[in-house]
Amino acid sequence: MGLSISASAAIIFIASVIVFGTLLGAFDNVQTSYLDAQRDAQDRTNDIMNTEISITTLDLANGTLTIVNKGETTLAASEVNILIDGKLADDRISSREVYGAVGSDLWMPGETLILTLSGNLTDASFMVVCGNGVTAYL
Amino acid sequence: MAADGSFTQMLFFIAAIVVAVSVSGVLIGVSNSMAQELKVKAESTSDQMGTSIQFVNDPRHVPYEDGSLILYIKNVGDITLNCKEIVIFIDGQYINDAFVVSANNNWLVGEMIEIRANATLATGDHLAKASMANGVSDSMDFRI
Repeated sequence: MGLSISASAAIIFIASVIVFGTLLGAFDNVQTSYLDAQRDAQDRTNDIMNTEISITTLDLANGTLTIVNKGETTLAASEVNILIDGKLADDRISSREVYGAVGSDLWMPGETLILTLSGNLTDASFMVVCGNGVTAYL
Repeated sequence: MAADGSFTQMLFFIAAIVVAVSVSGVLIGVSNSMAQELKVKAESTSDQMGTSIQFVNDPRHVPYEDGSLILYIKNVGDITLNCKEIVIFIDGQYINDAFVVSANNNWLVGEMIEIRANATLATGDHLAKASMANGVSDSMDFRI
């Protein structure tokens, strides 16, 4: 009788250890995933809060629109979209150049992005959207 | 008599082991199921937290031509989405006839997609809402 109880207890104990290990691993995985996702979301929110762009000039003669990065986040020039009179007009951008950094895709704080646009721009309304969704209007 | 006693003890021993193994099997099975469920739930929560979409229409000029409303939505989250999963509501009504103008289902981070929603809208103020399959959504007030 004693041996039966001891053997059963040993089996249950080993099973409990396995269960504990499995659940501990699962909880650790959940916590890691959750914290990573939370940190990424927080980083994203911080980026958006630290981003500010502003359209400074529109040169109708040359068809250029200059936008300054007034925030604290480095943006990507290639991710900038433009809406002219409410319609997506990325295909009208003939060149996008960060002033003083020809060929660079990095649009750093304080730098100016110059978009050269084709077509008639007279009396048009502009909306510029950068990669993280922050916008500027003219 | 002694043989009977040993046989009975043997039966009790086997019965106890069988019960212990059964209980252990159930415990391990349940814990594995719980671990699997937790993993799925964690992935789902992680996906949800990494998903963010945003209307990037110019609210002053939302294109509406021939009963077709053009909506621009940007993936401003951390993960690639499936743009075919998006559903559109206008003024609270589900728009069945809305399609994404994109050849690719993968909606990369930072990428803007164009959606054409066919709906009859009167002149005035409206509310558009886009929702992903995981419940993440964005809405935009506009005027036509």
